[in-house]
Amino acid sequence: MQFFLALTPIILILALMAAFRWGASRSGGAGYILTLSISIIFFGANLKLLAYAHMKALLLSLDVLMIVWAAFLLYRVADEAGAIKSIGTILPNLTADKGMQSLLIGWVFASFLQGVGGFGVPVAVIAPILVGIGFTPLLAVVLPSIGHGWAVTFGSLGSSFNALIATTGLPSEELAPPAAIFLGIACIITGWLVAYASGGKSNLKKLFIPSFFVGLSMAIGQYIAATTGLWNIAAFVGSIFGLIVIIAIITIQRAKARINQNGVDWKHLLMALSNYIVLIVIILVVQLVPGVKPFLSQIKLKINFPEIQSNLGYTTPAGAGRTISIFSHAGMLLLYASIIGYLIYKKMGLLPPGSAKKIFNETFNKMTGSSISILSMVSLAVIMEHTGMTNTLAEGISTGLHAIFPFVAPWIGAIGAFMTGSNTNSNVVFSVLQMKTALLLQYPVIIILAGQTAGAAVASVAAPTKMVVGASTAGMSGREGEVLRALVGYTLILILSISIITTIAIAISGL
Amino acid sequence: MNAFRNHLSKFKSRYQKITFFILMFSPMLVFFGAKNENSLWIIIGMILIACANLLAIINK
Repeated sequence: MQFFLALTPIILILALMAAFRWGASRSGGAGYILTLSISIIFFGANLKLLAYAHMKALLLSLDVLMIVWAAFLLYRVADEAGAIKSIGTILPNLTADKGMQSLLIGWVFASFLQGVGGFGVPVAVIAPILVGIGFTPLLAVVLPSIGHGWAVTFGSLGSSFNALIATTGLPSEELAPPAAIFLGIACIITGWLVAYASGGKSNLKKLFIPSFFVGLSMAIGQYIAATTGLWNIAAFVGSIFGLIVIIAIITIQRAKARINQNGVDWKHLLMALSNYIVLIVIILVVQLVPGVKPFLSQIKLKINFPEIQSNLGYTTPAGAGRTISIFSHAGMLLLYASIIGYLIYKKMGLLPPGSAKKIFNETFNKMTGSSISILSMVSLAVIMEHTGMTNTLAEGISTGLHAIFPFVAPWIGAIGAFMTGSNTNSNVVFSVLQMKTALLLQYPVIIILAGQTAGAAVASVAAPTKMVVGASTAGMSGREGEVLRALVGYTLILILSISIITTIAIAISGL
Repeated sequence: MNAFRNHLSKFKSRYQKITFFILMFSPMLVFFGAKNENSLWIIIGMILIACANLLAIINK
């Protein structure tokens, strides 16, 4: 009974978005009201619990919103300067093949941005570029969404993997190899899915071999970095391998087809991309140059919360909520890139007087709707977490199906990521539960945890909070239901693949 | 008709901004209430958050 009650908000949101085509802010509002009612009536939520849960949710939301707002600002600066339009006319010259464009931009470049960026940045940045080069807004959101999922755990400078280490207490040397293998296989499958999504079966057939080699190179790059202690830049290293291989493939194809090698106006492409190049340089400097990050991370937004107990006795231990290092936050890095990009475009004479006000006003007006849905859904997720609803869901799934627990483990991670929109949050919430269940059932813990984080990574891309980001920058606000419907099949294939890989790995380890 | 549409659009935009600001600032109110063990602030804040979510639902 408790299990089905805890499941209701998830089903409601999915039904409203997928079947009734409600937007994320409406569905989030409805899901929130239902969660609030169920948590008070059936899960013993009291005023104190709700108060602290809402403040934790606000911190989590701020963490997300800073990126959402700044990513859109970065895009608006580029768009106002005509850069997106320029990229739209220049990139088809690198390869006129729509399939290769989808692999290059929607998969490899999206993974690169996930490696160096963070929550929602790949979709927010790439969706408008794909729209600009002629992809439909729906496809422009779907391709990078599918494309970057495999890179989430070791992306964002390894924050999700770090959460796995922190919550389980297991060393990275043990956790990294299986996680990198699972996500590497998911990477290759992702390439095929991106090829299929962009042009159907014929496209998949045509791009099957190139996708395989690009995917394999990214998987190998990520594995090498993850298992040599560089897990915080493993997805970044993998995507660099991928970029090198895919550009080599495009060059070979162009040479074979005897296409004029001077077709691409590199100077104009670099000028148009200067906003994003600045972003990459800033992120690399902050993350890799010693001393820069600690210097910028001196001012932190941090609140310590007391132990919280529901009326039914479910306890959340005392601790700090989401800590936000204001000046080194990914959102602030995007803001720095926006400001520098603005100055560069201004210097080039691409921005007319008064453009700053126009950019700011449009960013504020466009982002309000998306922000509402993020605030509602994160609140809903945190209430579920603090009243034990999320725990009830996970326990119901794992104990009820203990014989096939290895198959189910990735789905638990996936639920957490879908609800919170974050691989990190899913790892924080479910890793210990997965570890304890694995020990109880005598399954190898590291394999179950690899399944947890890989399932969460590929499912996080379909989370409503993430989808809203891409939809808003591609001009699809209010049509998130369509995006979810398009995305759900690919996401399920990826989670299912992780489930099968986990089951096989458990079977092999028992031999 | 166009004037009506413009009016509706402005109203919707205003609705969204109100919803956004309530959702941003009410958690601080309930947190303040919890810290000071003042149930009234928590109740007011929770009602505001619930109303903001209802606004989000009816704002198509």
